[in-house]
Amino acid sequence: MNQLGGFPLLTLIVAVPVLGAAIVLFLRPARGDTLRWLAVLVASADFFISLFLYMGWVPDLSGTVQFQDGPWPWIPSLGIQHHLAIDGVNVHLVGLTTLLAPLVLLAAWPHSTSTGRATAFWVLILEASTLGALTTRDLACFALFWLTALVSAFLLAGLTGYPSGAAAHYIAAMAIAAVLMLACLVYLSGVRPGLDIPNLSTNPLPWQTQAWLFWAMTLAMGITSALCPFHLWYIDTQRHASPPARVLISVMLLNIGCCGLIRFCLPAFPLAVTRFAPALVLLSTIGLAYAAVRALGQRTFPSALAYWNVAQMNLALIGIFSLQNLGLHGATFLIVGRALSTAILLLVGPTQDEQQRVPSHGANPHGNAGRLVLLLGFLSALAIPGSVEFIAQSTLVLGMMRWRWQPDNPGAPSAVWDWLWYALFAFGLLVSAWTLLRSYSHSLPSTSRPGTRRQALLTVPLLLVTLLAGVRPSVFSDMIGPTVHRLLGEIMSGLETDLRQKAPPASSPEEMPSPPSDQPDTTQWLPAHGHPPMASASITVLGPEYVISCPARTWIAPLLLGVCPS
Amino acid sequence: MFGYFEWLLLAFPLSGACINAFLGRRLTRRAQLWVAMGALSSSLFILIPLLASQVLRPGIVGRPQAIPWFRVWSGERFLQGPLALRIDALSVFAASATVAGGLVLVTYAARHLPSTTPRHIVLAALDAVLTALLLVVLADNPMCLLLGWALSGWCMHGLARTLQASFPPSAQADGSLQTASPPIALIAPRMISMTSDLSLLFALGFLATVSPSWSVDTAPALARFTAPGVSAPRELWAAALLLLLASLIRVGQRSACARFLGGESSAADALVYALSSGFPGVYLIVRGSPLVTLTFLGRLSGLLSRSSGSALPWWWFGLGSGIIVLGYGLARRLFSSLNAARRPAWATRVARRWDPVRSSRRYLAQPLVHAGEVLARSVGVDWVQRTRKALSSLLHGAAPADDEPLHLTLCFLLLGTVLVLAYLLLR
Repeated sequence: MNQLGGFPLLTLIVAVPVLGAAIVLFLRPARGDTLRWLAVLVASADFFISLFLYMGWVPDLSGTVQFQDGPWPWIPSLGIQHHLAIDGVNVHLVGLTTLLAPLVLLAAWPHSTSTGRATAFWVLILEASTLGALTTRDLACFALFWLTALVSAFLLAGLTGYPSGAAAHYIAAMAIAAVLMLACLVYLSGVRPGLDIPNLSTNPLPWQTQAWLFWAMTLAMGITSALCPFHLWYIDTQRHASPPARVLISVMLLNIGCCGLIRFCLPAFPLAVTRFAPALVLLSTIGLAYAAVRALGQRTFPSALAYWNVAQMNLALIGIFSLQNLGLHGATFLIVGRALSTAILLLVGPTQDEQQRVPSHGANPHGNAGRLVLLLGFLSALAIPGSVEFIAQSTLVLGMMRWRWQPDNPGAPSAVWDWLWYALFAFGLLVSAWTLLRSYSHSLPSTSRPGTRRQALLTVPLLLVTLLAGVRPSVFSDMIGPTVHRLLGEIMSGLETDLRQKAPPASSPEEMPSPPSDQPDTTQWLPAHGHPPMASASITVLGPEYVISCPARTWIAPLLLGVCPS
Repeated sequence: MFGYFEWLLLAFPLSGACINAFLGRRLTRRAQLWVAMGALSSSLFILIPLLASQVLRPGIVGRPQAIPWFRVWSGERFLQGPLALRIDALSVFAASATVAGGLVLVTYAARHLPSTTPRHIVLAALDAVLTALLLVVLADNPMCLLLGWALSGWCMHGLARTLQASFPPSAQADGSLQTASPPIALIAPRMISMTSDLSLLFALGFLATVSPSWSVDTAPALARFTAPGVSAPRELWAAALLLLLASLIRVGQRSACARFLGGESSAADALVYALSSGFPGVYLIVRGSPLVTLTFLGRLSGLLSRSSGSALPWWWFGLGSGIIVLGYGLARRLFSSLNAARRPAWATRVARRWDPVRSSRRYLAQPLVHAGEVLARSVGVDWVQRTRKALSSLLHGAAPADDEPLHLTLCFLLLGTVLVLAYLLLR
């Protein structure tokens, strides 16, 4: 572990934007430009500090955290600690967040003439809370940072005025998510000595408890990630907020949701994860196809892009719950690539008002710089070879294909569902691409607005990162790989622990009794006894890879269990 | 250092594309052409000794150094997906055909594009397409193949857009560009190309679920399914179907391309189609022939052998001859399309000697299997078997197995294409 001699680097990264926001708050409002420059300076400083995470990264195949602050007790009576850590997955999300904040502040300049101070303040608060949520290993701290991010994003988006319907959607969705998350927290704090990841992942909870908590947390994170069908708040926000707020919500809030799923849900509820993964993948595939079709029907660029983002988040969820090395790699790349493409397109693409003002095929194009960046942004989102999205989609699809829905059962009636799933998945991917092509052909002849060249220049760092990750993905996958492998190992060890707790001490594997009928048959999840049974969900170890096989006829049961696990 | 020598095959056309794209505006027209032609000629110069070595001693001649690209840590080792080239008879043969065809097309483009065309951009796009095609035919692993496949589709799209923008409306045969909606014209070919990319990706995914091998040569990995009594699993059928779908979609892109470019018979349409759609589609089938043979052609062979007994080689030879005749007819039609819009001198001479329309009608009207059978009977079965053995030893360095008739037919097709191109070049 790289501790940098005990220097609290991660705490500094989270604290710098908070300090910047405090200074912005207490400066006189008359100094508008000073305020903005100060905010940009603070955000840029935070970005340069976060570069130490990459510079100090030590290649380590064990997958342990590389940088860690704490654990330091914060509220000892509740077992809450200040514990920040960086691993191979969240390091890229942290880098992306710190890179984006100064760019968005610069891009917000023309949009925030009257609200400059408030914009700078809320952007910095949102950045700090996002960084905290991405790095913390304590579930209570995560919830605190997450709620702060939700509130600050709401206020940031509302600076330009919220239609009442959109505000109601946002508040309702986030209230539901917050209630679910708080319910999880309250329950877990009662049964666990601490709420950090190691405490959550050791000694798994009983199956029924895991199922309830898993669905509660997944729903909370799904709402935050704007997964279909919990995406209406996001669509409304994207329709009505200013471009900088759109960028930050699309990148930061959605990333927090995914990060929560990967870092907390997967290791904390291994039984429920492996049991409900097929159902979640199926639901996500339906959501992918639905969001892609809805995106095709949108008339304005921000709406189409918002639905495309919903489709991409569903795709990322498919990768996450494939519980495969390749699938999780693909999901991580997809989260980063989607965020980069969305930021580029939102910064240089036409706003809603512009597209409504100007006919689709008018002859008043962007400047050359704006057109070029817009083209590159679309190419990146369309997964052209050499972009991070190409790597993401390829690895994600290959990971999914290794998830053998139907291992060796030719002629079974479930084969039809198998092929239907593949068809739906491919349909969703193709329609998503269609949406982007259509949006590009409609948005290119849009109006030229002042500052397009400046916006285009701001996106150059994002394009460079996209290109780097696409041309040399091994730089990133070498960091992601060990963490992902360790995560999958934690899920497996959770299953094994559960099995050991249930088994009588003296019994041999052959005499192992069946578990009670209201619990999943975890005896079949162990790799030790030759071929896995074909009639139920099973985990086998194929070489170094974990392969979860689940015949398609067992899809319905997890779906029903998801509604009523008892 | 010498481990990377074969990478020059791709580096030369790529550098030609970059020079023309970024510096081409400052070069004279002749210099632009020299850059494009020089890049391709350099690749051909490297290919000639490789081709000779394959003729003298077929097989894999060493492995060029792989470039690390993507890898996944699996707990014990890295699962590699590097950029790696495969130098065997088929790839060298196909790469030679690609570069030779590219030289013809660059020459054509340089001579007959309208003066309003930004020639350096067209030449750069052509070189980029050829680089992507070389990556397809020289790919050693599926990831590399997928990269080249998708890249060639994108480069084709870029080339088509350049040509669409540069051709004056009068050069487009039916003027449909003016009436068709530009967004539709932009989206349709790209969507078709992406469907092909996705089909290939899914095919590789299905293949990976069955075979642990990470190579484009699927024959060794599929050997365990060729034993008697062992049937191919369903994933292999899906992979073969999707592979065929990917190649057929790419080959069948002509109508979309024509619609995109605004005319069924414009020179640009034929140019783009011949270069970037037909060839990779055929190559993919040839490269994936062990898979296709194991699934579809295995069944077809069984069917034919049950119906005709010992005449199976005759059937295959008939089918192969038919495909050659059909391919020849289509190639003639393609050249006639080229000539209809803007006919170069050599094409005029060819067209005068062979009336393409009459020839293709005649060839297409004849029953193909019948023609093949007549041909086979006239030359005798022994000659067929000898030719098959010779070709197979040339391509694989070993005697042919009974289940690789597709190699034979498609190699005939490729050989015929190269001979026609060589003839046209020499004249």
